[in-house]
Amino acid sequence: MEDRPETNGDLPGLDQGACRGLWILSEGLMNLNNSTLAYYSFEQKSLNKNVFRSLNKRGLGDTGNDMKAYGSKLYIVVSLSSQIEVLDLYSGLSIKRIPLFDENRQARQPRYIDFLDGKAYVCSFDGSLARIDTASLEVEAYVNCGRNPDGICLTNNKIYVSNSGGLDNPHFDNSVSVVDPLSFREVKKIETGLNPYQMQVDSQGDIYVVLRGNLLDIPFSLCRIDSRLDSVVQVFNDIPAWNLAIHNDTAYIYHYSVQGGENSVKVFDCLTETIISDQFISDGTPITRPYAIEVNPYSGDVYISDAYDYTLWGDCLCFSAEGNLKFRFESVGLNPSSLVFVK
Amino acid sequence: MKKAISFLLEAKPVLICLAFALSVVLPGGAALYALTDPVAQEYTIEEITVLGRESKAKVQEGKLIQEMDSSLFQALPFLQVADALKFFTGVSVKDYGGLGGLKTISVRSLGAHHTALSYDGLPVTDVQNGQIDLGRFALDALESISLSTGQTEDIFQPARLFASAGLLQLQSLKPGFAPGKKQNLRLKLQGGSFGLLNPSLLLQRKLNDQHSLSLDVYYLQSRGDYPYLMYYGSEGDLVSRERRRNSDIRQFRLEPSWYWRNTKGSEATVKLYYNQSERGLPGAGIYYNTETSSGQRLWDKQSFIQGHYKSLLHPSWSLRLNTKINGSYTHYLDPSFLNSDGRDEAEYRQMESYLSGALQYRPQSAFSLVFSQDISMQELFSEEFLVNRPQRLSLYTVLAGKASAGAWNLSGNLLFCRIMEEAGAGPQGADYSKLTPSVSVSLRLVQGWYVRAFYKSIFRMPSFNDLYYGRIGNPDLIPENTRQLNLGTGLSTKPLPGQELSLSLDVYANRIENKIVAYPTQNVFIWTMLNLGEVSIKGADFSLDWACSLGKNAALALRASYTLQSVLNVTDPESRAYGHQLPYTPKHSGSGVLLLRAFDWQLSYNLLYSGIRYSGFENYALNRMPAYADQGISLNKSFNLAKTKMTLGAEVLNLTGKQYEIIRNYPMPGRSFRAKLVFSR
Repeated sequence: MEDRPETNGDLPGLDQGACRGLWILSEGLMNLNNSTLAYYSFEQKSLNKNVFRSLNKRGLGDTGNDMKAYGSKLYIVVSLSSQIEVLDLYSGLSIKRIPLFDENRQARQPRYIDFLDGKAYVCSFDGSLARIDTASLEVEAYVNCGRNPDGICLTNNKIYVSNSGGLDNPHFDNSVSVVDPLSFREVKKIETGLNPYQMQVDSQGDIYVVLRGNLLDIPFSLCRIDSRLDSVVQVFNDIPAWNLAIHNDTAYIYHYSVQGGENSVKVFDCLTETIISDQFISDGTPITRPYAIEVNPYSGDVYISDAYDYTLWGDCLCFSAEGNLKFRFESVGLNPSSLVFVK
Repeated sequence: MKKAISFLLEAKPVLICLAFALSVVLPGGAALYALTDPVAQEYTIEEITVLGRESKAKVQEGKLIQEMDSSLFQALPFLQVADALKFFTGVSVKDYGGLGGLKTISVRSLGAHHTALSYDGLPVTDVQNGQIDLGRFALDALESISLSTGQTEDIFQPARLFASAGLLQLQSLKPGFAPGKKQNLRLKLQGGSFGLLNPSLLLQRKLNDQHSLSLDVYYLQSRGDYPYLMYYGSEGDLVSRERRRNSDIRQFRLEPSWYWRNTKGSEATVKLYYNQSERGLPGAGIYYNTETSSGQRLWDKQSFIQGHYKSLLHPSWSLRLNTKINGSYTHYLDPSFLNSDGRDEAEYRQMESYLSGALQYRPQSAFSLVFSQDISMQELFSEEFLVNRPQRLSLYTVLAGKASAGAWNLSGNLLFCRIMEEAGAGPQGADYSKLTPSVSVSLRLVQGWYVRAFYKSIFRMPSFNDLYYGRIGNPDLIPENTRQLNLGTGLSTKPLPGQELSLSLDVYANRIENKIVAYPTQNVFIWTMLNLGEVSIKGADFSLDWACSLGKNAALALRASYTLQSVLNVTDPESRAYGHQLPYTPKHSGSGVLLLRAFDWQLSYNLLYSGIRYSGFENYALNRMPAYADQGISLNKSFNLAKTKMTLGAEVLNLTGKQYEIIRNYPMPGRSFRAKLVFSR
């Protein structure tokens, strides 16, 4: 039996707004230790689908849930392994692995990460928010938020953590915790809709929160928190958001229908809070199941990953701001979930 | 994760790994017995443990049946039924490692749900999971294991046993007494690495010429904390030394039986069975989190009472009646689940009532006709289900016939199944009726050389997990179908005086349609059972059995098998996994057993080989799992002390200590040792 070759697609050259490279994190599937990190070099037109392992002589673990860059470091949140893997943003070499376990040595299961003033904040399924110093790479403190936090964002000098309560299904949570970074205490719980998930912020300090409903009769939706008031000021029941990315106050929001399998990417103006377009993809490029969405900050291109059926290796597609497919990375990894662009 | 769920993800261990996810439902990035000739079973315990019969020739009138009896498996370093089944041709055993790890078999890659299990001739079922953990059955008290592919050899069977693609039959030791003896006693004590302690007792008592009693008591405990190496990549990458945690098991079984037989060939048996266990579920080995990644526990209890009656009503007419009442209980606990309670707990209770009657008309030895009717009522109680108390009433009706004329043997049956579902107020599975045929023919070319062919079409019902479990269950499922076509030849010969050689070669083409698979719907966390999957299986099984007498007091036996299989996903031509080999199905696999008996000594060597497999749907290098070979040796010595026979044995498992995995991230134990002491009188 021979290994089947993985295809790559037609690889793009150096037209990505002086962007030198792209990191693509693929989650893999639980209990398989098969999270992978791919790197694409726009300069060399080369795609390495398992760069973390080839550089660091070990796998990332189980499962790579989030990835963000801060300064010259790349942070990868590995959930069941309960680790924050810190890499050099340019070389991909591991600098440190930070374990996140509680006093009983139980895994906290970190989910998402964000940064403010030299500190990394990581929310974990055990309800905690960790503060990590980005210079020493030590965990400094923990604070408790709500049930099973599953999203984090920072704006207006405050930390927002969405409490999903997902492990209490069907008794989901419906709150976003506001944490003051100075006292490192939860100062407020904002009531949102059911099952809040990822959050993105615009230039006005508005926070857009994906609400996943109860996965049965209460559908996915979106709401807006005003970070000056720290309350929900608008609910978009007509936008069944699964995930979104915001670039220059334009949000790209994707949706997927479990029943019919159809999906769409909406374009939304965060300043007027109105939908600009119901279908971003203008050239008819089909996507089976969108899984991640990110905008290249240097070019404005919109990247959408397609996870197919979550058991096959997914693709990563690049669209122009006009919604035309520019290129795709084929079979880049199992469930591509996060992208980071390197200038 | 709920252990119970992992059972339902049969044939998709890659998905089993998701079992955790399944109960989470959390969005966002990150779930036997062929009625053999009673005379052949007349031997005593001593004979079994000391010398016994040689392993039986596998070419029986051109039928596809493989057998292993106690004389062989007692001489080999096998503890559980699953250990022995690994050496059957065309069988792959899914083994999650350790004595407590789930073990199921897939015959010719059809999947675990397609092999029925019978214990002393009555079906053993589990309506919740649809498959049985074969780790539960110890070899100690068994007389033989046999595996039929396609049609069972003996058509005078309960109808339920016709309703599967393959049939695994376990036959417990029946009492047999040497002239003048009234009692047989066997005491066995086994111990070994990782805290294994395994005492058992078998007592057989002859009441009179017609009645006898038997009592089997079995206990097993193991810490199971074996060391293993965790590989963080491929060769040259990081490796760490770990110890398997939370892999302990304690199991207790009690099995009293009553046997009756008169001189006219009528017989009756009543058997009580009670089995309970507590075990840790160690889960997959997770990188950087091996200490506390799973603290999950499982407690289970099974008990049944079964009765069997067979009578010769008339020289041409025989009757068989079987009945069984079966209850089981499972309790699952995850003490560190990150919900508000800080734990995840579930209980499941199952009940089954079963009645079977078969009538055989056999006017002459070359012709027989059987009418067999079974009825079974199964129900499940659990709060974890969409519906509170799903019930299933199953009716199986078989008309089977067998005829031989000259060199030809023809056998066939028509099976009618009627399955009725009742799920109270909730959504329920549809009732189902189907008529399925099976036919087999064999031709004797010359004495000892046969060619054979069979065709069988059969289905398996969705289990209650498939239909009703939490949000994963899908009441709209329809049965999963299999079709098998087999062509083969078998040769049985005595190449030299004192030698027996059997060779067998079969080629087959199987098809699975409407395969029931767990499939993610909303995201990686939310899975649903769907009829989605079509599999094309083409394979060849080869087996060899050779026995050679080395003078009066010594004999050598060799048993070898090789399987070549192409098991392709042919579900969706548009998919990148189309035409790829299914996960966990090697193209090449094989096994070998060599047994030398000399005077009171027995020396055995065994080898198990599996070629590369893939743990994912795409046959990409990253999904590849390396080939492995597992070897074991054992040495037994018997003594006679007055009227007591004593056997001392030592075993080495995984001789080379080379680590391997059958299921990704579930390490199998490295080198380990066992010693045993058996007293029989």
